[in-house]
Amino acid sequence: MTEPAHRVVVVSGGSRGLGAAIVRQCHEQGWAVATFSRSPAPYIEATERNGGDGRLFWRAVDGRDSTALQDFVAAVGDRFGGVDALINNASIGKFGAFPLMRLADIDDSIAANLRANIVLARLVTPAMVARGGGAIVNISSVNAIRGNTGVAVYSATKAGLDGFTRALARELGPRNIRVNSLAPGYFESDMVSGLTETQLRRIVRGTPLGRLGSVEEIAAAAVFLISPAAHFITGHTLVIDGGITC
Amino acid sequence: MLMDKPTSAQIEAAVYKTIADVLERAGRQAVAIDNDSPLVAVGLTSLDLAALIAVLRSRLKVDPFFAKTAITDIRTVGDLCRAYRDMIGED
Repeated sequence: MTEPAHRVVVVSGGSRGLGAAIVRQCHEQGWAVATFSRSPAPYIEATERNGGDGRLFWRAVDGRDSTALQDFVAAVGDRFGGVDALINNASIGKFGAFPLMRLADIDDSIAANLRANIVLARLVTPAMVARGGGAIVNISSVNAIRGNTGVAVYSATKAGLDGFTRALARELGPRNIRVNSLAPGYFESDMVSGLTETQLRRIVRGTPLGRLGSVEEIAAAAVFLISPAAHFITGHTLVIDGGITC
Repeated sequence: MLMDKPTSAQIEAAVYKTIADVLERAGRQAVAIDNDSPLVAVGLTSLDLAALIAVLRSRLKVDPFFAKTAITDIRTVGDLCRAYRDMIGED
């Protein structure tokens, strides 16, 4: 197997929000970035329109489709020669009173937030083992750590990811594959856009740093965890929440 | 890399060569193997098998263990060859 010209990262759900910021920051830091989403990725489209540099790859994939994920990972291998890092970012938020939640919404949440991430890790880890190293970051949530009303299933999927992270870190550490999760608190995103002014004020009041996070701050933490600067960090959940859970 | 649909003999050769490559990369002594050799006796750990599957994925373009076959059903080198033969035969 030939050495790739660039380190290669797969980012799930890279079309908007946190995923788009992670894609852009990885690209700016020299990574070759492969991402998928159900909707087009504006940053990649704009970069390609301006000539591109051959380091971006996007496909329309629904992460709940395991065969489509398998084809995507194979295509990334053909394009870039392998995968050095995976950032499992894609997730959906189905919120509301748990006793009233539709079964389809429960199934969707588990399929998108937990199963798809596990399947994607299953697809990239054999090659990481063969190459002798890699890094995986699972995007979790402070809701995996603290109980909050209306997010029971979402919290369960994210806590599941944290457990997956620790077990995988122990299993794959001997092959130099690091596995961490990142638990963002409240940051400016679609996820908080549905909150009322009163709810937002209460969150800011309860946050020692006195503000919401920015998407760039959260993305930077994810990029840090796959970088050489984090080479002795594995099995860890990095909480980045302005202190709201401390 | 095999571009056309490989024959049974090519599949077997790819499996044997990949086992040798993985053992060599792991710094372990290659042993004489045949289809009856148990994988444990060959010296392959579970993570060696993961590496083996990745390399065979690039060489044979299939991964029988993603959706079709349980790795726990594979006990010998011959079982491994059969898993790839069955998968490729279905394509």
